[in-house]
Amino acid sequence: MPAWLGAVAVLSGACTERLLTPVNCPELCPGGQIIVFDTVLTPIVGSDSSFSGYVTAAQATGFLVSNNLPAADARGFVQFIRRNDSLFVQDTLRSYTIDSARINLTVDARDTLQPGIVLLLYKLPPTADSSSTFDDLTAEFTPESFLDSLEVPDTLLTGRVTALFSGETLARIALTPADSGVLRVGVALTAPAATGVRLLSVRAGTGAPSFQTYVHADIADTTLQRQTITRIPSFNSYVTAVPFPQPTPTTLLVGGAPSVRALIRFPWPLVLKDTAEIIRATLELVPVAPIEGVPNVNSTVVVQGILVDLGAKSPLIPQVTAANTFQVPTSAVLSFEVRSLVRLWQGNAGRPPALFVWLSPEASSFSVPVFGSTADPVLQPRLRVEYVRPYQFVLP
Amino acid sequence: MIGRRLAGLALGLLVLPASLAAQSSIFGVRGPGFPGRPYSAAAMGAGGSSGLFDPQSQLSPASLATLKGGTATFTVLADYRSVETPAGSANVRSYRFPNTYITAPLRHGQYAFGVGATTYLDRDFTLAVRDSIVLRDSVRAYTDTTVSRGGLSDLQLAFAIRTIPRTTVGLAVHFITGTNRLAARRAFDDTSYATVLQTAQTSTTGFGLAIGATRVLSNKLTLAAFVRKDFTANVNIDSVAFGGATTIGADYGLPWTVAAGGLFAVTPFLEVSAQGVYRTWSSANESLTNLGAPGAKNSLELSLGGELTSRARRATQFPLRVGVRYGTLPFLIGEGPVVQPSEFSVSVGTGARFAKQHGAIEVSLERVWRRASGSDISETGWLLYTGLNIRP
Repeated sequence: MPAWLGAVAVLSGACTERLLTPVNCPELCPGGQIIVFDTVLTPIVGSDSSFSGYVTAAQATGFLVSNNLPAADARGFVQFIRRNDSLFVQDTLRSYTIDSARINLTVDARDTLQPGIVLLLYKLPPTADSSSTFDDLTAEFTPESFLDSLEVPDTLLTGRVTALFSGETLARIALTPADSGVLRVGVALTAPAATGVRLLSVRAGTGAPSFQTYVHADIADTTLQRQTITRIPSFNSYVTAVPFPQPTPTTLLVGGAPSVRALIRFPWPLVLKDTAEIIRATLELVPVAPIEGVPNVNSTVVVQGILVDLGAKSPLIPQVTAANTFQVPTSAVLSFEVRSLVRLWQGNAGRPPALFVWLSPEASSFSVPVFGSTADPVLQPRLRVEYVRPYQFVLP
Repeated sequence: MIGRRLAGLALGLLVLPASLAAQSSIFGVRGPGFPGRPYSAAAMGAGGSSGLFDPQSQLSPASLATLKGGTATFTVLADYRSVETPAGSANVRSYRFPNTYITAPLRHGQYAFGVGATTYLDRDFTLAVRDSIVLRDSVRAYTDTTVSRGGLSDLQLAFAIRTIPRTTVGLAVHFITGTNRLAARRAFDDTSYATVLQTAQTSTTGFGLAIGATRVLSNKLTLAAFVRKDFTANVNIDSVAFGGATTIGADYGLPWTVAAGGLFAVTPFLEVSAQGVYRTWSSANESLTNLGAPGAKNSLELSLGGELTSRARRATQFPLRVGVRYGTLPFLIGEGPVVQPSEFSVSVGTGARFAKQHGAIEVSLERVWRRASGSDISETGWLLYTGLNIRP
């Protein structure tokens, strides 16, 4: 290696700067210090309101079943896709005889501290449909229509429970000509104390209710005789003894079925819109009454920004959310870290300074939080923002 | 062969990473920067006392008086400092090129010119502050980091008239320019709070004129004088985070510089030099205080040094240079009662020529003490100057 190259290499290797020095302010702080400002914004009076009709009980990813739960006394209803009286085996429709059948349900949430939960299945007549009320359904929950009871193991947090019908019990689930091949099942619950469970619905995808029939097909090849017919729901929903609360002009309500969302609009000062660097923003919602539900079952209040302000139909900004998962009962103020949301309000192309609040899982929660609105200055929402202004770099 | 190696070394020095820009002093953070010294490594060996007479230094254009042939000079400064502040201590190090100068005589030596760049003010620092504030009724600890990189460079066009017997008159035009990249960061211990990170870049321009003269009074004594006026530094800030280039009244005045010195040949083997440089940095005081800085005062630099050679015929071969320097620093420090920092240094240096006098290496080591009386802020450092002179 030439000598000059070596010299350059040595010099280059030696040239590592190390400049960090601990100092104290303001004596040695050029440009002064970063000053944090703290401000509390309240919504524009009268511009916060709740809107209903987003997700119905039949569109939810879960359906509710409970026994005299104060929050919501609910019964489930599942209508499976029609089961034909013959099936294709080797491209030929063949008759079959039923060996056994089973109904699968998936528990999505339950009171983990409540033992002895049992799901009760009832076969519903063809008159039961999406228009059936709580009274209509419970009237059909008779000993004659009783199918089976599904014990939910105390150790089961989430997962499948199955009712198996074979032998003598197979007759309970037999479809009559009036059923037209459609099995309709009502779901109730019994437990030593008032409680509830959330079961996954057909909208949930994995874990949807299923009706499986194990049959012997009429075919000579014995290896093809055993067949399984699986049906998923064409419709499932739930009904409650008392309808969920509806929005009022003086409160902000989220949840229920059909679901209710709340839209809250905030004033957005110029300093926050144009120049501030927001370091924390917290939305605080104050319940007007304790939030009820099923103990030890989490629900989550979700906050999202909107792309444009079209009122109730404002499109939500996807993927940028803030959430607060709470347990019931609670009267605590729910706080949401919404910095990532309110930063979208900044700049010339900023989004509208408004937040949509909704409850997850939507339309399938026993809880219906009701928060104060601008109608009540004490209980109204608050948006607490901490920010810094541009650092005065030129100040030595 | 050696000449080719020297050319390669010069090229290598030029392509060193740009990040090796400049290192400031803790006493430059409350002003526009820490003043640089436009001296060669050889002059720094004598404490800078021979700067008015050294043709490789850029203090005065009249120092081209003794220039004998075209020369390219590169100087590398390695800076190792220990800084003490009330918040703690740190050992820092940095590197810079304080003096790059290309000079040549014209018309059989009747004239000479020089083109060079020096550090006018450097503002490289990284400062860390550990503190806390009360937010939402809780104490939140945080760490602030302020980073500055850049400063001002002084580009000089110098011209010397050597037609007057025993006298050289030099004129120079100075273009002062530079950028300063700045970042302020605050990281909270509580991660609920986002880290603040703001950046900006300032650009500064200025202009200056200088005139200097040297007069050989006898074969033992040479005197020099020098006056320079730098005009207003115009500062623009381009906020990266918030857009727009703006002037926000951050301009500040640049100083007059007045210098005088003498070079005395005690014996053929020993030369002694002395020099004083006075800069009217108080011209920046009003602007700086209006911007919130402690302010600025005039600075004085006094240096005394000597060069001892063992052989008069080859005076440039391994001379021994020693020097002392005392100076006040222009930018004040402190809140409430402000104080003007000062520094004191001793230095030693030597050098050698090779490649048939076509190349020379000068090395000087300076020990410097800086402090601000009445404050707990001080720093000591070792400054190693390495100069390379190439004479085609």
